[in-house]
Amino acid sequence: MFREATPAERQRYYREEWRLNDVPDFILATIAQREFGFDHRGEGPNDRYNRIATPAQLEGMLINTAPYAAYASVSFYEKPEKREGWLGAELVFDVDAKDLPLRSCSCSPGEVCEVCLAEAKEYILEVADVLRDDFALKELHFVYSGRGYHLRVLDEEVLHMQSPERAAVLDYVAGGVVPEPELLELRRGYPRVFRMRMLRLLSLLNLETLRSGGVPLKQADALLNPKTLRRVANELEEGSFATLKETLRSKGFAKFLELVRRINAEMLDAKVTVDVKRILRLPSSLHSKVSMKCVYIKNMERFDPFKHAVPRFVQERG
Amino acid sequence: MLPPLVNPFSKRAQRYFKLEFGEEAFAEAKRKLAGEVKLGLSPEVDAQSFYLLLMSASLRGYASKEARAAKEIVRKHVSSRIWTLLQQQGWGTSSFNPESLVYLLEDFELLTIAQAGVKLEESDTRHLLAAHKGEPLLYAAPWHELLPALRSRRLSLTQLYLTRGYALLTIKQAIECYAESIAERCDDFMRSVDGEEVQDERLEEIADALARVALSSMPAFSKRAGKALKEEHFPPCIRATLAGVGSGSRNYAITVLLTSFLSYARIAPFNAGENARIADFIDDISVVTEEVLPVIYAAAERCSPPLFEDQPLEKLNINYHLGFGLTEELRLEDSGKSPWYFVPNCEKIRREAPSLCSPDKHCKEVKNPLVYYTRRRYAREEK
Repeated sequence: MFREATPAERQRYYREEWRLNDVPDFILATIAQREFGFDHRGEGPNDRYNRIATPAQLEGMLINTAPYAAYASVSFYEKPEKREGWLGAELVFDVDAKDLPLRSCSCSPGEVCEVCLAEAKEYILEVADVLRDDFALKELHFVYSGRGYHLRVLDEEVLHMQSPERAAVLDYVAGGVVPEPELLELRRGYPRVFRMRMLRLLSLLNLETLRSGGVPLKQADALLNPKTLRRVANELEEGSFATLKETLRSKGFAKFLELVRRINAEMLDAKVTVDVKRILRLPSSLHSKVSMKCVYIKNMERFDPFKHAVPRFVQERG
Repeated sequence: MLPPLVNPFSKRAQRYFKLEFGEEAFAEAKRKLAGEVKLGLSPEVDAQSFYLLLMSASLRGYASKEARAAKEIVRKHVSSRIWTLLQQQGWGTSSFNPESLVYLLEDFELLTIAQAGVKLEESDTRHLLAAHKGEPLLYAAPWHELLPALRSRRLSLTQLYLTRGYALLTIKQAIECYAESIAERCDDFMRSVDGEEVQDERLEEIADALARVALSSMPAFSKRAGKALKEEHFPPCIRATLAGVGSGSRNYAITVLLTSFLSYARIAPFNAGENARIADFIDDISVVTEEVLPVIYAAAERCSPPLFEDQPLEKLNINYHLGFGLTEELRLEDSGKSPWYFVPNCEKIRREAPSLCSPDKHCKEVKNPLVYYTRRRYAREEK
């Protein structure tokens, strides 16, 4: 697994395994309004500005050309072949396991494993919770991208948002801003999101990370004591920072909040969220670089990329 | 009875849109320019005076200083008018009914908290009251109603209390959000109209007056070289870059952002203009080699891993971005061999290097880090 697919394997995948039914309805229903992009030789999606009028045309295209990668825009156009007449765009959040700023595995940069993919999954589920609870959004769709997850939002309210508004939502769900000090302990709203992000990071923290954020050595050491970490975690769930503040002192606490904000801001690929003309890997297509399927996920809780996203040709590679 | 007009873009107000304006509408536009809030106007004159201001501004372009001034006048006017009307309805007294504001804001979905059926936890109510200096959260607006206001970045979702799809707001926040939304809609209006279709010289007169308003609120900067850099006035993104950046954003932060920011901030902080060259502003290359480059190199060294350790060629790239071409030795006579890259806008920085953008209260007023710096570095001196 994670080895590049050969042209023969790509052809086999599209002829024997790929099914039109695996393309989500939300794409098929708007197929003629989306721009399609293809990467034929592993050099990036340089075949762009394609309009595909019908699902059957898409089927023919994929089976006949077996592209290295296939993409569809998150945006809708009157003339997708010219990218003209923008009609709206899904709101997308992209977490890539290889780019997580903190991982508990020992993957080399650019690589992924079961552990970091599970962390990416857990994280994107947390993002979805915020979108449901605080923004009351309902049309949330998950896609396994091959090395991480896409969360695609299709509620009417988000479709016409421009980049600045998308950036504002991103800041909120990612925890990309340190809350006002007097509001840090709110039980609900943004401060809770920030606290939950902080809670998740606690288990991944190490001395090097804390020091890189400017937390003084003595305080950083004290925080990493397992008992202290447990107490801090319990208190954060309750909305309290008492032990954290006591352990880090005022300057260390401020540095720690800033560190959390910085890590939060790097969890999601902001460029994907704010770009209203983005193309994204087409669910059902093959991520040839790692030989995994890009999968539309119907049941996120039960989804396991190593069961549900591995093409047959990989299982048979031996 | 219909409430007084507060939204010049409401369906009711748009009925009065036309390309000919009477004397009364001009007189009212001038009053609005002067910051006067007059109540009891006929809705027709009122709406037309707003359109006059915006159409006059559009003569100078929708991104012009006149357009910005017109937007600001509309924003302040809408806000002042709502406050005045609320005072008439007992705001500040025990007889005030919070629903008054709900009826006043046309084409804006606002509910009282009771109407929305949202309940706050007791501890949150306490915290929020303290944070808002005793003002309670009285209103709930669907979060997407605030989207136009988010565009200006004066408002941030992270400062609001969001739950179940509603943003809970104090009366002050509700009015600010509304006025901001109206101001943002001015952009759409100015893009959609063409002031030149109105054959009336008085529009030019209003546009001139808008220009004067715009200039009076700007420090009288002149085109001249900058002074020694003062780090305490740097915006947060530059301070974050100076502290060192991780591997993902290093090249962008150092070569693109810091290089352009420091060079323009030190050498040509005001109106450098298109195709500017460093040599147009300084006679001595040591300004670059001794005041700008050492700061860039030190920040590059603080990156993780240090930028030049694995990418020594980035030094050449920095020189290229300064406009000297791909050269190791900087000479003023080479200035202009490549473009002198201008400081990227905040929006671009957020996209390219989100971890660098941690806005403070001054960031909300600007769209470019250089403006943040010039305002703080030079505004006091100009006064």
